[in-house]
Amino acid sequence: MVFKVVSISLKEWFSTREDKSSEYERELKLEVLIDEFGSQVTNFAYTYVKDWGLAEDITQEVFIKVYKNIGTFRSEANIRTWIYQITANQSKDTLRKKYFRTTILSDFVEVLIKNNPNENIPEETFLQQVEDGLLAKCILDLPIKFREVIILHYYEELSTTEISVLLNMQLATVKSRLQRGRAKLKISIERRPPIGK
Amino acid sequence: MENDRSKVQRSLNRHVFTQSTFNSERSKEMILRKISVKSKPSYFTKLKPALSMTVFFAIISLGTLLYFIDQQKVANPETASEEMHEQLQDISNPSLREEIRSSEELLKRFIEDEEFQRQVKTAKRWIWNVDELFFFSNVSIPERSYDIAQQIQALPLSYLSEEDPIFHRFTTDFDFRERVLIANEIVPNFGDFHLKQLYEGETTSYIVADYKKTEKEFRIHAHSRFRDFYEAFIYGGWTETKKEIANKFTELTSVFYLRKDGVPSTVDPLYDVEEAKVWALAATEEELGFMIELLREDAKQKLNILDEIYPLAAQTEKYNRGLMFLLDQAIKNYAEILTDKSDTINLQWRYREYVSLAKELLVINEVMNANILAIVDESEITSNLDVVEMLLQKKSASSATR
Repeated sequence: MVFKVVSISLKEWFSTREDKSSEYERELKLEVLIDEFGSQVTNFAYTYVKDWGLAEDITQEVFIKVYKNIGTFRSEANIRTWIYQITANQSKDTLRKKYFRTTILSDFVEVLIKNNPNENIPEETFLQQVEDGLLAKCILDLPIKFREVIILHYYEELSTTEISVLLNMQLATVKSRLQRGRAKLKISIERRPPIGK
Repeated sequence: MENDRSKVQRSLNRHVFTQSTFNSERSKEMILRKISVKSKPSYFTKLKPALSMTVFFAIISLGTLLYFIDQQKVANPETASEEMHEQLQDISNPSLREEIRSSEELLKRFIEDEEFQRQVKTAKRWIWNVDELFFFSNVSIPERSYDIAQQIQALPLSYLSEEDPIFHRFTTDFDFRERVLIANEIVPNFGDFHLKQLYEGETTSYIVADYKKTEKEFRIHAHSRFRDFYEAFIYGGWTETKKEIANKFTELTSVFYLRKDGVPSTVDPLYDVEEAKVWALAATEEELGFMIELLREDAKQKLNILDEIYPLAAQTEKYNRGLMFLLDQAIKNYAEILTDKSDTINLQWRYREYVSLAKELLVINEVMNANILAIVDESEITSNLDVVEMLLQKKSASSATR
């Protein structure tokens, strides 16, 4: 039987002092968090490691850390930013491991092949899809330091200030990386032939 | 027209995230299982006391045995190194040989030296040498040192010498590092000349330190004068004298600045200091006379406290240099406040100084109790990209005039 607490906001719920909550309550909180952020965390982790299996492993580690540190979470902080911060660190840890470096996995090409437009769709939509696919590939091909800020800003819709907190870097650096990331993205899109041609 | 944000979202949603195999229920099950396994006391835990004794005696016995079997080898700790040296001789490539040797030595140090291990894991080091940086890139450590290790490989090779001041600055100055990396990307044939130009180029006016209240984290610039102080204080152990100084600082900071109503504030007031600063700038002439009296009274109190701290700081051996410097500055400032004759003319300026000093002392007070320390530079008025481009423009302008 799965209990879900949806009547109060996560923020309110987490404002409960952890030392007063039981193990059962912690698990309950964790389940709610997994429902709420599990998929997003996996997607975000994927943008670092480009492997769904690893992304899921990272997701599990992230939520284990969340479970262990629920007590240290401050209710005034943003839960999402906090979880994303753990995800970013966990993903980078994974990338640092030697075995991962020697076997850089890229199932991205396969993803693109699976998503190739079929011949029956109208030309306009087809072109749009091709353009989308190219953009996604170019984003994932960016170096990590640019990729993470681009995704956090454009996909997750975080402000530069939020990103600077999440990635523990100064605001000017975030802005600079966004600017450079965009420039790199533009160059890489211009240089690549469109997919399917 | 469709904006960039929705375009990025659509492209990733359609072409990447649709492939996600994430299953919420399955993940919950896995995560909770892992948590229960990790938190469950194992059979080993129960046997731990008995096992640890067994292992202890086993190690002693093995050590004794080895001693008698190969006294020469045990007695001479350099034997192992010699063996490694012999093995390394088989490697023909000298740079590879050197790299392996260095890596082995650092790994040995990492295993044997607890302090080094702690520093690697927490990245609480102010400077790294080249070999350490490469070594750090292969162990799980916080992002900062990993980044440095990765980034340093982008430097022109002639500057990979730890004695070089440019290298030193590269490893300690976040701002400079960022500029070098940007320049390395955008300047064609980036080389020694450009690096030197950046090194000698203009520096921004750094703020000394900032305290990020919500994160309970200190951000102190790498070139801050707090660095020596913090380093000595943290790594030098926690003594009674230090405790006493810390208490004095708490006392000092708790009465350090005055709010508009003249009531001393409580500790942890950086944002209030900011308010005080704003107020000080906007103070009306009628309030100035009142403020002068309050400032003088306040300065007297603080001078008394500083008089007590000063001899305490002088007693300590390692960390007193930074502290004495700060205390000298503080005493000088207070003395100036007390002896200032031109009451109204310089008060606002004085108050700004005063607030700035308050900030510094607040930081010291908090640093002494802080768990996390980050060395960053919050000073950039323009982005580093702008600075690099500015320097490049200057360069091309000077080349054109020649």
